[in-house]
Amino acid sequence: MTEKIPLQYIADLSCLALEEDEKKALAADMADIIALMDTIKDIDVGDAPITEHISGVRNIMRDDAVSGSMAAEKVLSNASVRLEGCFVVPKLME
Amino acid sequence: MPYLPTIGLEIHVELSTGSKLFCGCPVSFGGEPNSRCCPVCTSVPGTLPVLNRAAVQYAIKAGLALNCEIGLFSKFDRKNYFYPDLPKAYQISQFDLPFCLDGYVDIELNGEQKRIRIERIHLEEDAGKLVHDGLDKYSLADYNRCGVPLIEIVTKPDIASAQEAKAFVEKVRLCLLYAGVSDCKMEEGSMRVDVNTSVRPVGTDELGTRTEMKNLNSIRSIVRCIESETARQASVLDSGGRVVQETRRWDDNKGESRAMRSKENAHDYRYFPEPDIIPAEFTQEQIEALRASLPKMPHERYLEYTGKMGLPGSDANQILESVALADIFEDAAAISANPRTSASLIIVEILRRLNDMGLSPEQIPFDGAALGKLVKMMDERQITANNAKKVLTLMFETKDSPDKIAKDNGFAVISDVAGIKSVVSDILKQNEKAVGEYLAGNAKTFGFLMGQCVGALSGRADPQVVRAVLQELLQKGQD
Amino acid sequence: MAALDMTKLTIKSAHDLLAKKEIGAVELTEAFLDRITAVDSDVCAYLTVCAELALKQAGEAQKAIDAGSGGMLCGIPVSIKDNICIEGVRTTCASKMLENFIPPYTATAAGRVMDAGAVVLGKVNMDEFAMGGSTETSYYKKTKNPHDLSRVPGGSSGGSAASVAANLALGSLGSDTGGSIRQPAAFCGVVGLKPTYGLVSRYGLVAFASSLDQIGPVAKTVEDSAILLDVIGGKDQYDGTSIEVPETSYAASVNAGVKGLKIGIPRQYLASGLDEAVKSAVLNAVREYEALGAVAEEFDMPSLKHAVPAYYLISSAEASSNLSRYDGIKYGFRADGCESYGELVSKTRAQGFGREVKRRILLGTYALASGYYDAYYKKALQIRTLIRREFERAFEKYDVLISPTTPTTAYKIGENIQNPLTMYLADIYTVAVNIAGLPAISVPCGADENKLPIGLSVIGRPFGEADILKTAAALERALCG
Repeated sequence: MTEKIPLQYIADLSCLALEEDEKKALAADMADIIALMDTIKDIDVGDAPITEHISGVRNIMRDDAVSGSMAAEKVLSNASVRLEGCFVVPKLME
Repeated sequence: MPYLPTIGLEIHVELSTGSKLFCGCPVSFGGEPNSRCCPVCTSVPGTLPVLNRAAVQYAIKAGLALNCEIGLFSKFDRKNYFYPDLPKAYQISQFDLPFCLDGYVDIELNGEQKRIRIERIHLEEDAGKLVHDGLDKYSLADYNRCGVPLIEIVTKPDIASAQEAKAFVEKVRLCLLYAGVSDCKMEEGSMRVDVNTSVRPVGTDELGTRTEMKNLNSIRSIVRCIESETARQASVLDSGGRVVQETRRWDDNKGESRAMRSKENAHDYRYFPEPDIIPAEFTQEQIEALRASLPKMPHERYLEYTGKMGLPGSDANQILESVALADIFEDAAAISANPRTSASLIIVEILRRLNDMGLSPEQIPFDGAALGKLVKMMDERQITANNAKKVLTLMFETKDSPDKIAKDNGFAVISDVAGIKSVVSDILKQNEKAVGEYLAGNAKTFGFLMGQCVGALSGRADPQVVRAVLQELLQKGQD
Repeated sequence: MAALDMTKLTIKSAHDLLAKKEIGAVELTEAFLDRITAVDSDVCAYLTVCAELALKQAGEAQKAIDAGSGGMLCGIPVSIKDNICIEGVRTTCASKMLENFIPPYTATAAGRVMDAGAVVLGKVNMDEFAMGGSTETSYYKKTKNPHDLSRVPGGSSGGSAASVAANLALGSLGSDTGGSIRQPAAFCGVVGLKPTYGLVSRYGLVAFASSLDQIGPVAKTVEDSAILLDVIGGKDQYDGTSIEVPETSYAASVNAGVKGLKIGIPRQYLASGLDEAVKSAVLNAVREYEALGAVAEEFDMPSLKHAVPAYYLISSAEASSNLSRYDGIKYGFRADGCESYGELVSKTRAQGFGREVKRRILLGTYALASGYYDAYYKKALQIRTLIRREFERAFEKYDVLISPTTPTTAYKIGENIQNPLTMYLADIYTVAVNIAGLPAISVPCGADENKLPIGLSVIGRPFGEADILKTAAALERALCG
């Protein structure tokens, strides 16, 4: 038995403003999908550790060298709104 | 009812690496917005972080300087939340396997020592800056600071007063300065403190509900905020209310805090192992090599300065404020074998000049050996104290050694009495009228003549000797 | 030479003709651009055709060839999946969210291909953010299977596979997170290779699931795949998960043969749910291998049955995080008329992402959320360990493993799109390879009664690309004579 998914909570965490009918459709999809995911709940994994990283290697790091930054206009080139060399964010509700 | 506060701190410190944590953009302060950015630190799709080895070493050095255990296996995790200063909408941080664990710092307050335990230190990336000023409907986002390496030092709730918090933060700051991992400039935001405060009635052990005050950027505001929050919580409890667990914002201008509105799910960060960064693994030998690379920590130096070097505690602390001063002091004291004069030249003369010139101790243009040489010249009476100060001034202007400066400028002491006598006797000849007045019993004229002689010798002779010569020659004139 | 249709060449044969000056690089590129104009309105493989860039690159390639400095890829026209960035060329990930996104930098793999003299014809269609198996979740268009235009080309690299199968490119770069190169290659009757995790740089590949994604080649032949892999593989300083491997020539390995090769066939991969035609083609391939001197046997890999849910939990969790950056502020779609930051972000995302992407984001957020993490995400990572261990054990005994690439041949457009669960379960033969970070190649091994292609997958040890290439090439030779 799959427990009811807290869809509104998950949508809020995901920052998705879902319309009512879309939410209904997604709730139905998600119920099916979660039922498939729930099949792993009963699997006995013993004391298997999690895979921390898929490649077994360690310590890939770079030297502390400064390389050039981009011109500010290029940094902003894909923003649909920009002002005074900055990205523009509507007022935050704290 | 009287209450006792319990305080824990989270100190964020920007590391002074050359480049950012995950890309080659430079780490520096100020400048045009979005001028130190690249596709990686502005989260352009498809980009990947590549870990800066120096940042990892700095984080570990910070841990060693604060007496931490270093985890031989560490990894990074993603902390997910939406906020416009965080372009990826996740912060690369460390969750369950940070680089440093279980450290401590001993603080001294009113002559008593207390140990404040450190729970952990982890490495993470800094966020950008939002500018709100003067804009009504919008904020502007500047990502220059995005990806600057940051360590977060988390204490146990061992701090029992605002003064302890102050002493702790100052001590941590000093240790990190000595470890060479950060400039710890609170006014530039490279060191920022979150304060968790709760209160409990005197005589009970059970901790109260805590509140969190974020991003305090001066020692003064830390002290005021703790005092204010302790009083606020006490009055809430006294009036029968209960303290709400919340994040509050401190307004340093008003000297008060207010609760921040926050969404209920704001704290579900959904940490998971960062797949873009391979875990780090160290050997004990590598850790020991980093430990060996650390300079002596300030508390160790304090004991040396006030012990065999004989400095008063206040002088020792003043020198220890800056690694550059401490290093200059130690070299000067070693060369001159005179720690006290070395210290007094630093504290009185050098600090004043730095202040006048608007320089920091790191910008002193000469080294400790040069200062030690000057002290030695004073001790060997090759130069008067007054001229030593003049030499010091010139040491800020030229690259020359103090003895060359003294020689070039005629500051070297005239030590032969015959030479002094000939100068004084010339002065007496030029001032027959004054000599006559003196001989007639006007003792005040002696001061005038003395001034003339010192002036003519341009301070190069010991004033005691000049006075004796002058008296001797006047005496002769009387006879 | 008048009768030669240059678009039907392979990379190898085109290279030989270019080197012998029997054809020119510009004329080769023009032939492809002409064919795209003529045919792609039916196949719908391309989202962006870069005619100007392509002709310029072809001109430069010809100069290199004339100077005698051109390598195997010099002058070779290719397509690039639209989630691989090229500076200045629109990169959409087939999403409304990135409709006008112009990358300010170039992906390492794309850069290496271009540096080798390859000509980029354009950017090809895919499932939105690579989430899907039919290229039907693209916001822009539905790509058709060149073998039957009423059917899907597979996905998510459907544009890559269709462009190669329809002679609209000599090769393509795709990306594979759970089968996204191999499955469309199987559906379109071409060769698709998913490299070992860490062999090819992911820098510039718009992330779907970072611990699973790899860029890989799609081509007409095994040898062509190897030629592409030779160019794109190898350590990259901009990808902290890319791994140093010894210099090797994959192209040189394809003719090594399979005599004495030990082949394992996971029994779970021949179980129920598999189309009879697919099963018989795979078993026929096994007989071909045995005839060529290889030894094949079935064996058990019990944890494989958990691979699909584990894959969807891990990939969706990572995707939910990777796709959080799309907030309307820095790039891409920005919803109109929003008064607060929260409104802007949540409306931008609701309007900019398609339904399948939202499902994955919701699933991934759920799997990571407080109170659910242990049951879903952590458990999935433990299963990941079990699957890796089973593969490790298998490779103690076998040199390569083989399986069907897909349970069915290409299905009709619209047939499954309403049922995400059916689509997810169809990934059963491909996802375990990504979970374990292994290399695998899909090579054509026959056709069903509708003449729709069937693909065979060959799975290798980590960095065992040479093994799977020679195994796939042996079958290719055996079947094509």
